[in-house]
Amino acid sequence: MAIKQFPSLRLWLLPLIALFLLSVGRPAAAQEGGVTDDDVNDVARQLFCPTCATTPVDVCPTQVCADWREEIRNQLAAGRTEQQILEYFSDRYGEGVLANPPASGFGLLVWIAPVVIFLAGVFVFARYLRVLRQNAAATGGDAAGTPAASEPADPYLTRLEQELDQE
Amino acid sequence: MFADLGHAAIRISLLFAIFTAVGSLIGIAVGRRDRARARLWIESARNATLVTFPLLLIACAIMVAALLRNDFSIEYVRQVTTINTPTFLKVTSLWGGQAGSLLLWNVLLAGFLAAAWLRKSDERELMPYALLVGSFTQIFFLYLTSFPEDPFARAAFVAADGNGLSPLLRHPLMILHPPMLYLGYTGFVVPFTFAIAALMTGRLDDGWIRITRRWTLAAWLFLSLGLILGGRWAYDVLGWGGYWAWDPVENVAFIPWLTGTAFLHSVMIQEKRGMFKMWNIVLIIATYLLVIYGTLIVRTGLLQSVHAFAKSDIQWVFFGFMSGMLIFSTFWATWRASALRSQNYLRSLLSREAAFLFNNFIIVAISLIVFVFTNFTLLSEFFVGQEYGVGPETYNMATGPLFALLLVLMGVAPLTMWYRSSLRSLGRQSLWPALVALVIVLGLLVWGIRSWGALVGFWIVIFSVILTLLEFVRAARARVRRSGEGWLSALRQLFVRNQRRYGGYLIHLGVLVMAFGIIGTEFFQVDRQVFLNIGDRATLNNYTIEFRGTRFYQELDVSVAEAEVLVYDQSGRLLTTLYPHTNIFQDGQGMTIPDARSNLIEDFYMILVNWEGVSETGATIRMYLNPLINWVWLGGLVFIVGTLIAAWPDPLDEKIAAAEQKRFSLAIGD
Repeated sequence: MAIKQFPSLRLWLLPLIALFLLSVGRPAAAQEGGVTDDDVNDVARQLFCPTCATTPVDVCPTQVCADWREEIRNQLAAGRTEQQILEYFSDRYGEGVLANPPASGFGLLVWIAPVVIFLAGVFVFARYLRVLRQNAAATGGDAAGTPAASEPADPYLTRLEQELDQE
Repeated sequence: MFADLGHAAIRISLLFAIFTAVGSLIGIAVGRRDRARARLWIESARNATLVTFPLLLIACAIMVAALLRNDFSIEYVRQVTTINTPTFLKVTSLWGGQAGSLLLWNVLLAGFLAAAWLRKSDERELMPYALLVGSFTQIFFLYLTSFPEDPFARAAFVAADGNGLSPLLRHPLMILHPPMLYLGYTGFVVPFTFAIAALMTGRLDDGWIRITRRWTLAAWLFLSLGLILGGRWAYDVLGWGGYWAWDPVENVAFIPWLTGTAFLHSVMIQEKRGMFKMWNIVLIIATYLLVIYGTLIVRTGLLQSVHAFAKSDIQWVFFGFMSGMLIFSTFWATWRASALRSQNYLRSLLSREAAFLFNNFIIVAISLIVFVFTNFTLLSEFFVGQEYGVGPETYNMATGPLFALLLVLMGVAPLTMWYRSSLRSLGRQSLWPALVALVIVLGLLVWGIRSWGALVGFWIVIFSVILTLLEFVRAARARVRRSGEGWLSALRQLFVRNQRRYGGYLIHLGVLVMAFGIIGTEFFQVDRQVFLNIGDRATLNNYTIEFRGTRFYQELDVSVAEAEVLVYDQSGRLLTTLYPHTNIFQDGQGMTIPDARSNLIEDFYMILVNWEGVSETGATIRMYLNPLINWVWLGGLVFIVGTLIAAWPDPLDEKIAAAEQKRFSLAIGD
């Protein structure tokens, strides 16, 4: 049984999580040797099928994935942790099999890209506003359209009425 | 014989499309010297486009006839049907395979262009250029259908029977999904065409936006429908318990939808304030290119496996075409850059235009992130020689906060005013909705919900829902007070008088309801997989199941393995019996069909895990508890209704447009 947690905000806590992941591998085969399908799936869903691109191993019907699940089961039964098993697969088949690219090497790009895109966006946005202002200053802009300086009782309703009248 | 007729229809329409390009070019070239001759050329170029559509319809009809007659001398027919395929599926196999889908693409595009030219034939100035630009896309896709992806290509030998459609595609939702998606895709070609025409003519006011507004909304509507149907199909057929997996094929349809959404919002700033002209052009160009890119990805399977890349050549043709269009449109946008400069500026970051700008900023950021992630396998293969896939969790992490911001904006933005609003009035209007939402969320906390991410999500959704509903209430109240009409009639009048705005708010409401469902499933989905012998029981939260055995039977050409599972509640009362099953088709392909006990609170969803081996006395069952998932579909319904209202032709609008056109024609002495 696995409860999905909201992952989004963890992005901003990245270093902490990396540390957490490194230190706390889930003691997988906790129940006396009895490895359940759920334990296997918990690991398997973090791996991609090697032959059908982005299909997670826990729901992939191919033979390869059946073998992989078996391998995961054996390793869990041998007492290896989730992290160790994931490492085993990524060492053998490359880091590309990890559903969530590692925060190292080329995979790091996945973690950096959103932040870079966001910051670049903020930069472009701010610059664009400045350019707009300069252009408008040069040409005069739409000075005529300034709203009334004094705020009426309920500006929202005033606006609404205006708009309803316009139509 | 059939094949020859089909070939003829497609190639003649290619010739007509080329004639459209040539005719409109000549018309443009002689236009300055000889108006009468130019008009003749342009008229005949237009007529050539109008002929393309019926010709392609004929080609489709011939293909459908060949499918119905089991004409296995045509390779495509052999691939997608068998003699035993039901008639309905034979007809829809028209778009079941590669060449057929491209034929469908062509006919839909031709239909959109023909409809646009029929209705906008009085648009004298933009018309020749729009004809020209529109024909480029049509020529490219007709070229594909005429040569590398010829649906009427002969089979090497006449087989006794065909292969048949992939079983996954035999589902009713999957039959509707591609035409919807393609209607969305091809629909976006129309606004793009007019945008480039506006650039080429230098008529850079918001004329092109007004002309194409409904086309854009229609395209967007179909793309949304395609996405929603696709999600529902995945939930009903793919058997992984979800509706969206951030799969490349899903993403490439979602990205143009996102940029299209940004475009629909930002054009409103241009209409009201004359700002962001260049930005709108950029957005529509991007949407168009992403549409072509999406078609490329789906049709060539480029991202499915990078190694299939070398096997087919059509992606190079696609890339060639895309670069051509990119260079062409960038050239014209740069050429007109100074004319596209805005004369106005943002007076305040609290204004309505700023709110639209934030919306655009967030949506474009999401699009870029999804685009980079989707192409990450390609990028990594190219740079480090190893494919890295990006899983759903990473997507959620990166885009989740941005989507949350977008939802907040959805509630607050309608409160802002053009030019400038005061922080005080914004604060006053959103204070009590924020408090009400807070009280409800605290209630949830007390009730036992501990996921703070979900709590924040619920707070945002409730807050924005209240604000959106208030928009309706306040406007209706204003009408009631002014004219003394009843509340219902006032509400109805809102939609009639300003269908675009209130249709838009209804869309917002739909999105918020969907978000409610998405938060529910994303945060609280639990699953459990167990192997059960007859009589064995297993429990997931409040549900206990009992396995009663598997039945194997044959249904037409399908072998079915069907598990019988009793579902009890906590107190041991029998709730229902579920029959998750697996269909194995003749070619050995399997399809996992889930069964679910479904209500507004949650779906208890179950699949027979056929890849773990199934016998009459034992099977592996995977159960999912998907809380609130039905709200996703309900929200989708509201969303579609809102879009229909916003896009519905408004007689008043048409009259204004016609009058404007007349004035313009008079002004240029036409």
